[in-house]
Amino acid sequence: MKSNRKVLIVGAGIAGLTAARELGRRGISSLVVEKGDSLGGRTAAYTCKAVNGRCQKCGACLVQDTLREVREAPEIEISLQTSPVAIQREAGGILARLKKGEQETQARFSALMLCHGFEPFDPGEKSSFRYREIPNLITGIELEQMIRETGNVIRPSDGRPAKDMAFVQCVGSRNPSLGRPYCSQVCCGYALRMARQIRAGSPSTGITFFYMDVQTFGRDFERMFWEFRDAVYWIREIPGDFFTTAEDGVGVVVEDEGEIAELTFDVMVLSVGMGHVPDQHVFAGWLDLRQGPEGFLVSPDRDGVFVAGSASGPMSIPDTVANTRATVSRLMDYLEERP
Amino acid sequence: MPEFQMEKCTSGFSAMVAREPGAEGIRSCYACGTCTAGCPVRRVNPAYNPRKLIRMIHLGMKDEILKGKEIWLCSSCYTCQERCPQGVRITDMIIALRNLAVREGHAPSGVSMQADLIKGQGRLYALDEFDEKKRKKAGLPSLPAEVEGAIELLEKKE
Amino acid sequence: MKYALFLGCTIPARSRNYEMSARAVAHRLGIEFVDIFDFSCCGFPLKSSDMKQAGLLAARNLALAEAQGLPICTLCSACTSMLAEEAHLLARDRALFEEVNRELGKVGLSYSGHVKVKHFARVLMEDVGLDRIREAVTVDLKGLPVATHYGCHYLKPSEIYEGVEDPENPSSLEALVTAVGARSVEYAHKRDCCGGAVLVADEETALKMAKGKLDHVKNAGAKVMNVVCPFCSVMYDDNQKSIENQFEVSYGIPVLFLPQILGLAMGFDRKELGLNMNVVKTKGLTEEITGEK
Repeated sequence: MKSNRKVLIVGAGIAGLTAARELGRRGISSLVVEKGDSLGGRTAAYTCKAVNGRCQKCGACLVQDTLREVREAPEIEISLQTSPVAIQREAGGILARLKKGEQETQARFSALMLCHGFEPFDPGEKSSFRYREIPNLITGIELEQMIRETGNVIRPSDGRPAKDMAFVQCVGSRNPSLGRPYCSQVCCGYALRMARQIRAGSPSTGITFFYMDVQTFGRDFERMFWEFRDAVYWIREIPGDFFTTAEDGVGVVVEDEGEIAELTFDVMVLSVGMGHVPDQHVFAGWLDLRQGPEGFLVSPDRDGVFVAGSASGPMSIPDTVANTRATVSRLMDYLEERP
Repeated sequence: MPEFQMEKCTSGFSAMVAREPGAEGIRSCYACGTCTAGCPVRRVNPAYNPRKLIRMIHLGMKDEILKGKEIWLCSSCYTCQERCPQGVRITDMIIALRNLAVREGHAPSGVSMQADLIKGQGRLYALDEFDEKKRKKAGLPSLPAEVEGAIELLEKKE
Repeated sequence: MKYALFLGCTIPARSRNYEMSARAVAHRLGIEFVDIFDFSCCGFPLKSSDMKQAGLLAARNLALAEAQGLPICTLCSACTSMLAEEAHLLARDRALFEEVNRELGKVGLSYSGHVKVKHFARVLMEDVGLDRIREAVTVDLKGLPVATHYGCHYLKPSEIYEGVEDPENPSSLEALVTAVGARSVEYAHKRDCCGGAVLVADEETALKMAKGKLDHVKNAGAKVMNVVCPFCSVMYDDNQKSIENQFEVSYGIPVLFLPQILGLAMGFDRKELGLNMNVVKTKGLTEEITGEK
């Protein structure tokens, strides 16, 4: 049954698009506003991690599938390069002032879904990483983009293929001293899946993992981990000093098999975690939303305001889809209760 | 590295260390190894391993730690303490362990000697006539050979 | 700019060159040093045996400075950290504050919590400023390649230093030597500790640590090393020959205290800067810069 109720969705990443699709399937129209100039959010830049054609269930393709459905749905309106200027609850609904370029409009909605996502940890925040000083030290996000765009791992310094690479886990996660005490739940997954894919494409590439423990989220991950484990060299020590070595290698000093060794890699990947967006407090302020101790938003799930996806906490792509669908379900209950 | 023997462990040692000022957070350690990886002492002497020391504390290996040489190898550079993601004050913990070791009579001779000198004269090097002459020749102001006030302060402390 | 000059134990006895050059440079730049006769050991070497007693010694020194209404300027990095840490703790821990004052009371002293502790290099950066220092230069150092060594206690524990410098990325010492016409040389593992505090427990480990730094400094082509702490000076200067002998290497790199370098650029002579007291010979260096033999 079609309805003239409309929901405002902030963010056209996997959460926002999933929300629009789910609402559309239930006959509820929506306006999705996206501040960027393309759809799909961060996951659009992630690479498929299939190994020899075998899906590793990373979820990177989900956004493309969702996008296709969303584009074909007449009840879903999308506005790019559009940001909210102010949002408030008003007269049993939501009043929003939106800005696109120089133009500002105001509109009323039945409900609001905040799906504005997360901000990856910037290793520049912890100077011991020397992230911006070492040319071949990159983040997991940069690796995703690199593999997606080039199919290979190459050294940013000179474009040569990486023969020896390393991943450093728990960067900007499980770190109370940085205000990020939580596990981001995705880094062991994305790093291992990418490692597996890289190894499949280039069997001679050496891969070392610096880790504390491996977090196996998701149903299939543990099995995949045990299958792949021996293909990687594991060192249970998070390096302290990072430095540039001869020919722009990335160097660390760790205990390796009982000996103190200086190891050098062509490329080192910092598996960065997830944090809240910089202007989280703005959303919180407009709608009197509670922020958890780490700054993520607690979804009030009432009065027409809902938060879905990583804006509410770190989560994987499949978990984001599940979380969003559950939140849409609660939103539907809310709409049903209104006169 | 001696074999770990449960019977020789001291139950409650971890709590005992955690009661010392500065060492309260040791139970937050999740053995990530960042401290040890950046330790300048460990780099030249693998016998010193802060991550291993903390683990030993939690296992109650009191004698090995307090009677051992390892805790005296820390150079108090604070690199570990600055970088620890869990905010464990590792350098402060080493000082606390040393204090415990001294209380049980296990200080290296050089350390007890320094402590005695400071308590006995208020400074590490007593300035004798020879030093005074050198200072005067260099145009530097006179200093007391011993610092009475400091000696008195420490004597009066219970 | 008036400071109570805190010398600690080592400098008056073993590093008079640091004291002399610091006084000379301070005077030239308008910093007045007041000598408090009753200053004692800062407490740092006592910390390992009894941190409470060590803290008391530090507090007593703070109280003495406070009684004269003066902030403290330190030359030794270990003294800086000991005194600044005690001031930091007393400002935050009410129970400790009261306990310390009880003890101080027994010797007729008290501390109400208002003494600022700054290392000499920080006084130069903050109170004097790089412009004044540049203006005081009369001798061209011709881009003398200097390897600056920060050491550890000058920067850490960072919370007692109010976030003035990032211990992973400090810049004050480079700024100071560059301001007087020297060139700061980049070298590997620049932030490594000198190993001084390990000397009493394990000489070999300490020397190996110092050797590591000297190797990197030599490889980077520095002509002189700059230190801001007598511990570091003992490791790199006093022990340079031992390291050379023990490990069969050769350096010949003079190790100067910061004010000795600044002083050379300000036209002070070898005697005024105590350059004859440095262990690794500095004659070649001064001959090259000023022609003074």
